[in-house]
Amino acid sequence: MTGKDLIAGIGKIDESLIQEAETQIPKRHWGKWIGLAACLAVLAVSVATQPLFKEHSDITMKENGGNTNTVPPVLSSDAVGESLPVEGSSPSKDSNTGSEPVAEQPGAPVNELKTPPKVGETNGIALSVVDRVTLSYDEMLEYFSVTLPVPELLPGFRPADDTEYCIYKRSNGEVYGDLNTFTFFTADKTQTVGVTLAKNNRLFAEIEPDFLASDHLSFTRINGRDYAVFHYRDEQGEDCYHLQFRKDGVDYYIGSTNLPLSSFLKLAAALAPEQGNAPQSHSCTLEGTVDLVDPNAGWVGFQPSDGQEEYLIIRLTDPEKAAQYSIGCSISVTFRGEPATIGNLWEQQITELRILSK
Amino acid sequence: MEDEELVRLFLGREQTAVEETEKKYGARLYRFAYGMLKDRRDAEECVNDTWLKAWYTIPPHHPRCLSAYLLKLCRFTVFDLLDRQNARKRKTTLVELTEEMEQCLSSGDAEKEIDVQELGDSLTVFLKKMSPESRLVFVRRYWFADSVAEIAQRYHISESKVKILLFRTRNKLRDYLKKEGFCL
Repeated sequence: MTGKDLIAGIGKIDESLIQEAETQIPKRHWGKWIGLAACLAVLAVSVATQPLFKEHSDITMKENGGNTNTVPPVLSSDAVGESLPVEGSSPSKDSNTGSEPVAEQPGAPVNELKTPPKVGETNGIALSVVDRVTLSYDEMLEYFSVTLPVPELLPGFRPADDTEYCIYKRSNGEVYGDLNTFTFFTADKTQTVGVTLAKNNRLFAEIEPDFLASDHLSFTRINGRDYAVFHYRDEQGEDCYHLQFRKDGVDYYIGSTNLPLSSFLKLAAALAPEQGNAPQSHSCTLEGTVDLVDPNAGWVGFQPSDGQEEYLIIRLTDPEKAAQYSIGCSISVTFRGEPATIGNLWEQQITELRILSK
Repeated sequence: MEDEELVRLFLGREQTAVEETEKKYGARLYRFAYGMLKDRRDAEECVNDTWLKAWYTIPPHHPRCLSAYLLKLCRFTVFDLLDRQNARKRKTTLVELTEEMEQCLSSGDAEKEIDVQELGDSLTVFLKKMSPESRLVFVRRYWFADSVAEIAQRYHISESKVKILLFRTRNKLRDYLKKEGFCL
């Protein structure tokens, strides 16, 4: 068989597929995106007023400078389940620190974003209303096989009661769309937590490439792993935190608005993978073959050859650097922490990137 | 005019069949042909050939979906023309698509004759198993010969995502064809 045979064979596919591709208008699920935006719109500024570093055995932090601290304890394990102070004021209103949010102070283990994360307009394709299956809150959690103990961890928060959860199923029962956002509010709705989960809809919640003024990422130690936590102000000027990771095949996008950093990290610790035992400041090296080079975006994609890791895209700050790589070349990449955004290794976390063979 | 009525005109050998069909689908077919050929005259020639082929094939064929059937006829015509053309520029589209599809192949017997219809049927089964997103992107690329940039624009996704989707679908297709016993 030749490539030409395949092109000819494609010419013989069923006409229904041709019609579908010609007429299908991508549907954008604004409801979902709004939910995710709300989640990302997070923020919590009142961190300034919080005793940021309390004791906690599982959460450690690393300073911006890269030096590892055995963290000033973030939360007391005793505090789990206790009522946390609910702060309605933003850092800028905080009299203790003037207008400086704690996260902007030296040593804060978060990455400052100049602009809110931009939610990629992806995964809006071809979800058919006919295939929509509405689920209850509990059914939706059961579908993902997760629990979201937000009310237990953050007393005063409760799930939004007007949210409709759904998945999209084909006639053969296969699920092809399942992105859902679980939003939790305080009674006065001044504080928000959003947890977006997806198994089939891989998201591209983009962090602007210039997300760091410095040339490295800061990591926060959660459950024995290093995660990049992002801090920013949303369009309303409120402080937000954002973290994303993949666990058991489910993508998690966690965001908060007007929540203390300590509370956000407490929630993150409850949801993030638990088995991490990597030493602090550890590095991971992966080898693989490049199959995607985009010198316009500065992307180099590769599938790690150990078969354990999922597909990764290296995000280079200087797009032209991507031109050094070619499809088919073998590379070795050493990086710190978890992928800063799902499926992406950012140059700021890469300590070594080598071409092994052209 | 509704498609069913147009098909009835063809089946009844009515002289207005082509004229009415051209009114409804002429612009769409022209855009499709021009997208691949990048030449106004060639595109017009292919569209005219498509009307003729429709006239001679309906009947006996009775298309379920007229627009898809016409596109299919037009695609065959365009690819035939591309095959005949020697101008490098004009052949670029076909060469590019063929090279991409060759990534689905290993070093099997390239000379072995393939039943194209059987291959098409298998591809149909394969594509119906894919997610709508992957399927639409794949069909737009390899059936309609859209560029990656055009697909990205059409579905509001990044070009890189289009490339990733295509890459993964090609890998899955290679495994599927092997499993189905096609000699790759």
